[in-house]
Amino acid sequence: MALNGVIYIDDFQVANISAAKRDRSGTLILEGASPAIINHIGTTADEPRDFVFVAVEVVNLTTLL
Amino acid sequence: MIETVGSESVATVAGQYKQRGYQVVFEPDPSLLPKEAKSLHPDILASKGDEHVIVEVKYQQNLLGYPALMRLAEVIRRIPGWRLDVVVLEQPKRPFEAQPLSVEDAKRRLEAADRVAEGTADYAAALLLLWTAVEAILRDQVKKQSDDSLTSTSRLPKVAYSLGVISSQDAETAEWMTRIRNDVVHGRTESSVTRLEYDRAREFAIRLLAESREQELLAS
Repeated sequence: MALNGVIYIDDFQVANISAAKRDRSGTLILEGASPAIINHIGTTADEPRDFVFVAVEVVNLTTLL
Repeated sequence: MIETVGSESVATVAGQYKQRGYQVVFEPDPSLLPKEAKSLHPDILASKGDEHVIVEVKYQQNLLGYPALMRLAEVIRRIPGWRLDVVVLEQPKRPFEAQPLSVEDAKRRLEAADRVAEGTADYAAALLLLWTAVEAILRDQVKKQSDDSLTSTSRLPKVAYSLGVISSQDAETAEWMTRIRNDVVHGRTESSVTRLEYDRAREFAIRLLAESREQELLAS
C-alpha cells in the first residue's frame, strides 16, 4: 500500500513478495548490489540506522504457475 | 583515509564463493571483464557456467571512497549474465578505546549545558552538551552489561533500551537527543529546541546521573 503510486500503480499488481531482515553488524553480502543500497550503506556507515530496501522486478505471471 | 581490506579477508570471501561452486580468479586480468568494468580492478571474479560475478570486498566506512564502484553497479546490472556482489566488512575494532566521562565529569558537563541554556537561550547547543553527559552514562551502563563500547551514537538508545538500562520512553527521548546532536554537530539548521524540550531532556539526564551514582554507591 505504501508504494502505491511510487513503484506500481496499485498493490494489486504485486504477485510475489519475499522479505528478509538483516543485521547490519558483521559481514553483509550485497548480491547484485544496486547503487542505491551501496550509497545508503556507505553514507550511514558511521551512524547505522534501520532502513527498508525495496527491490521490484517484473515477472511473467504464467511462469509462476 | 581509506583503510584497504587485507588479502586474508579477500581470500576468505573467495573461499565462500568456491564453496558455492564458483571458479574464482583473484584480481582478474581486465581481458576477463566486460569492457565497462575494465577500469575497476575488482578483487575477485567468480564464474559458474554462464554466470559471472564481479566481487568487491570493502569496509562499510569506505564504500563511498570508490566512485567507480557506484558506476559499475549501475552498468553491470544491464549486462546479461553479469552481476556485481559487494561484500561489506565491518571495520576491525581498534585496540584503543577512549574512556567515557566519569559520573563527576558528566555532572560538570550538565552544569555547563545549563550555563549555555541560561546564558544564550540556544537550547539546541545546550542540548549537545547535555547529550555528551547522557552518552557517557549510557555507554558506561551498556558496557557494564554487554561489554559493547563500540555501539554508534544513533544506536546507543536502542541498545540501552534492549539491555534494560532505560525505559522505552527514555529511549525515545534519547533518540530525539541524538537527532538534535547530529543536526548541531553537522551544522544543520533543521532542529529547533524549545525551553520545555530542553527541560525534559535535562530531567532525563539528571535522573540518569542519579541512578548511575546510586549504582556506584551500591557497588562501593
